[in-house]
Amino acid sequence: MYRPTQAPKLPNALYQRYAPAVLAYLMRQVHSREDAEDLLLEIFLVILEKEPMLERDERFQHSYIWAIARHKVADYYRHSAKHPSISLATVEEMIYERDDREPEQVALRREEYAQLHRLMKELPEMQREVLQLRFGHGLSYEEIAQVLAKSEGAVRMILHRALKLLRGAYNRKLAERSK
Amino acid sequence: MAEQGKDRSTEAFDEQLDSSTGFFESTKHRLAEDLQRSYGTYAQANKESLRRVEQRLETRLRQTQQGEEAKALENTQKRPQRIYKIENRSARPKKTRWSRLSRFLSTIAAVLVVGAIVGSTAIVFDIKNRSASVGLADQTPISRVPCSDPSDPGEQYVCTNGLETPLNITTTTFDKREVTLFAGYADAQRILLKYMLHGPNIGAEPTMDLTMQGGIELGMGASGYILKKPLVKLANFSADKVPAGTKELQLTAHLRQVRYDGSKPAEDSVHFSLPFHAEKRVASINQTRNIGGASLILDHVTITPTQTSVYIKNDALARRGGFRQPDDIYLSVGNWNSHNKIDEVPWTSNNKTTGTTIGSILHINSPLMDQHGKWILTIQPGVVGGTGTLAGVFTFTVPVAQ
Repeated sequence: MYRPTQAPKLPNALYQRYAPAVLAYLMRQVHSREDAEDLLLEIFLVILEKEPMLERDERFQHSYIWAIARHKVADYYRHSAKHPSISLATVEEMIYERDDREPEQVALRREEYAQLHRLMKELPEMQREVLQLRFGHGLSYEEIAQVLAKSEGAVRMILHRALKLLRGAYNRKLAERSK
Repeated sequence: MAEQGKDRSTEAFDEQLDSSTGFFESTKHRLAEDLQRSYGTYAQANKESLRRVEQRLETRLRQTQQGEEAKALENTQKRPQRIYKIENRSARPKKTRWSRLSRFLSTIAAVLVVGAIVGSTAIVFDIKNRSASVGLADQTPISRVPCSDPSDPGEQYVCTNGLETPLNITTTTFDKREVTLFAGYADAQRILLKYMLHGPNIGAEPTMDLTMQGGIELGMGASGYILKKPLVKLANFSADKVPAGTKELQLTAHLRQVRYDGSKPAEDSVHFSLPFHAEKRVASINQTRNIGGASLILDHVTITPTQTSVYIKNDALARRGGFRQPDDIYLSVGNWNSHNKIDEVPWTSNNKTTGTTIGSILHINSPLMDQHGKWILTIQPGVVGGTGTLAGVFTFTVPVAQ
């Protein structure tokens, strides 16, 4: 007798916990949102295939998910080398990404952003990257550390320095206005 | 996610913006607001991406589920459908007159159909014979073991040269399925196990964890398909944890079948032994090259019958998570080269996923034990994200097996 079974369960907690950081890592590696999304899907399909993994401790899950992500990126480059192609959609996406990542479009819309935009452009690359991961991806220090392969302390320091620089510049501007 | 992101941003400013500078309280808020607005579009796009992937994931899961349900439903409906067809056919009015042409064409069609049936029957019988020779659980010794596809030449080498150990060990029935381990091989880098699944396709496949004598866990096998019908798989384990001096592996394979309905997973274990082929060729190299502005150290190379591993040390490489384009790394010896055959994994300080990453290991699953002469490893600058066109070249020799 045919009996419908229960709907499959998506491990939402696992997805919400790891997907933002893994997406940030993928976008940093493949530079195309479309490809990053495809890879993210593939990674979580692999995780679902290995369901016993979901019952393992958090440390194991963490290592496992990041190992899969790194392998998928390696596979991506291997495949790209064998089948070099770039779609129009990807080109559009890359342009879009570039505009978004360095928040030029938004910044230039208003005069008050122009100053911030200039300051951010002057920041060292690593500081800009940390700002982006923090505010653009909403990642925690721990997750940023994983994406950049740095210690959590180093990430805190980088962000602290970036914000200090920006704040200093804002202070100067305010002081000028108050004169 | 939106709330989470908001909380994190707030946390960032609470921690990072120095509130002791009370005079600049308005600066703090202005900077916070501007930064959040600046990244607003990008953050929104990321949330959209995450939502899209989540939806695709759910759709994929639903499709898998529906596929299984449709099959089950189809099985229950097959018989009535067939009866219906037969009934319809008998009810169809007979034709009273056939033209000569249509009769002639029908005769040709009939001849072709008979030919096709005879041919396909022969093919079906041949396939059945082949399947049987692979060895089902209830059938006697496996006479023919299929080798995997050419994407794993190391496995092919040990298979075609008869270096694998026949096993023919079958689990008890768990979750309406049985698993037969029918061949295995172990060298100083890889442990390979081939197994066949019998029973209904239930969507999920069992995973396999391996433990050796002394309770040493060899981890969960990464598996790939050798055949899909019958379902034959290859589980691949790292032999890094096998202690030096081991001659034979006393192994326990723990199989676990997770159920989609959330009920308790089905499990079973089988015990068996495999000879351990400990011989390996190791070259301690420790050469440094400056490639694209990065200083890379070729530390050492290990060769076993199923795999060659190249260990490259570099802090920056480790921080970035590996090479940018591993395909732009070439290893060659004699007439052989590694074109598109390199897999890269992180090299950690303690050879475990929990260790600190110190570089990359390049795995090449080709049988290179018999390759002698000058080995050349070429790394293009783009691989390390550097500029320029000057590739780094390491030249070395590898001693004979220990």
